[in-house]
Amino acid sequence: MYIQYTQYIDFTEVNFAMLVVKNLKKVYENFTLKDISFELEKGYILGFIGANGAGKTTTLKSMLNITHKDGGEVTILGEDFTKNELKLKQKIGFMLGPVDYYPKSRISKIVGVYKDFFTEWDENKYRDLLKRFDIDDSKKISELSTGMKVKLGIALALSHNAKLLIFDEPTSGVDPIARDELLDIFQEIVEDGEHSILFSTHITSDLDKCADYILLICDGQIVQNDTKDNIIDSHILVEGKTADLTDDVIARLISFKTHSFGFKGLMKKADMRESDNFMTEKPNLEDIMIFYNKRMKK
Amino acid sequence: MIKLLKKEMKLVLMPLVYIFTALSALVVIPNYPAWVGLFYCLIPTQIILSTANANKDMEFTSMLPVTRDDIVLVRHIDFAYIEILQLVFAIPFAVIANVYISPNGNPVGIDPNIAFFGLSLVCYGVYNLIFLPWHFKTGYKAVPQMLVGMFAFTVLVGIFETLINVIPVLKNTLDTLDPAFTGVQLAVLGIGVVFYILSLILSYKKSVQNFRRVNL
Repeated sequence: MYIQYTQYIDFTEVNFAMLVVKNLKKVYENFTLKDISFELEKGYILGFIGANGAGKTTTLKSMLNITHKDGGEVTILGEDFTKNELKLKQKIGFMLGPVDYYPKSRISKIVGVYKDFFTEWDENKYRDLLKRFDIDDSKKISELSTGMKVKLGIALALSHNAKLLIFDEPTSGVDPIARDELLDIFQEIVEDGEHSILFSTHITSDLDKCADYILLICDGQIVQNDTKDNIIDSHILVEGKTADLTDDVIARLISFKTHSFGFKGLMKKADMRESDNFMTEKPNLEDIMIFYNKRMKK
Repeated sequence: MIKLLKKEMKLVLMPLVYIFTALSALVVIPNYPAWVGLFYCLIPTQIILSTANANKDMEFTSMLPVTRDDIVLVRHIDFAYIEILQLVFAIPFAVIANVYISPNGNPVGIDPNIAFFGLSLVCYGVYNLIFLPWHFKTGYKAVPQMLVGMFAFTVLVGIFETLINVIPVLKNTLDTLDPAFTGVQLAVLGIGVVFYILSLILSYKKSVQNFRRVNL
């Protein structure tokens, strides 16, 4: 007997990705961004890590058409960004550094201009956020601390109902207390499952606190793209004596450093063998970034 | 575009821009080349871009839901607004000079008559054609563009003055306050207006091409 099951799918329930980047490419004379691809779903925080000069800012700028890309597609909320730039900019908020434009102008003056451009500007929400972040909008932008400038950028993005927030090094130059507060705010933002955050940083401890997914870029290439836990769990730090550093071990190590008594390196757990006689340790994101970066620089 | 223009008015067009623009009133000074006031008036174009650069206006504007082409267009409108404002502001002072101060004409160069305004528009058109597409190759550099544009403006003024002084028919028809030649002078004004509009369109198209390739 043949039974046919018919499955009804309610497409309104399909949870498509907030952001899809496919084969993004940018060629400079001395640097190339090579086929960057990744996705970010609704309700998650994606931490974008890499050393200075690895291509984080170039990736973000190329995605947002601030830098002219040489190839690739960027889809936000299911629509092509290049073709729907005006519409999609209403739905995203991005800060490529703290708010430091028009530094000698009052915040109220700049925001007065800014909000006119956004159809979904919510003045009440903006006022609430200013109160919560303790920002006095009669101040000049230059009078704000770095942390306050980042908070102002977040307030601007959230007040125009941005669903996707993209920040380039938002915690850079911010003191540890303000940084911790910012990371708490990030987590609160995504809690409703309607917002997503992509933020780049080279301070990997930020990501230990709040990132769900990690994107690691080295020398213009994505070398890791997974959940934070998967990335950490699939790698292991190994330490051994100089005599243990055979060609076979070197081939299995992502990269390593030598010292007077031996070596320390990073290996994929899958490449470990029972016969290996190393001291092992769980790596953190900083270890992973450092050893991948070292491999790319070889 | 209206919102972007409002933004320019509130943040970029500083009072200093209008002060320099008002120097077009220098046409009222007797025995003084009418062009001089217009030279001063090229400075506001530089002030606009310096203000924008100093305040990271390009970073601010790129956050807004506007396209790169909009950014190019609004800067062209800024330039046109300032240049036309200069000429409009100069009109009553030119009338005062021609009717009350120098009714026999300006002995130093062309009289500030209708033809003068037409030729001024040609000079502005050339200045814009040099300045703006070159500026939009980077989106921030403005000083060499202004210097070369001013040099071209000066050369063009020199050519106009030479032709008017060398060719009697031009001297008689263009460098005069005689109302008998109003028709000819209106034709020069018309040519100036058409040239100015065409130069702005050409400059905009070239600037858009250049700016689309810029990495901000």
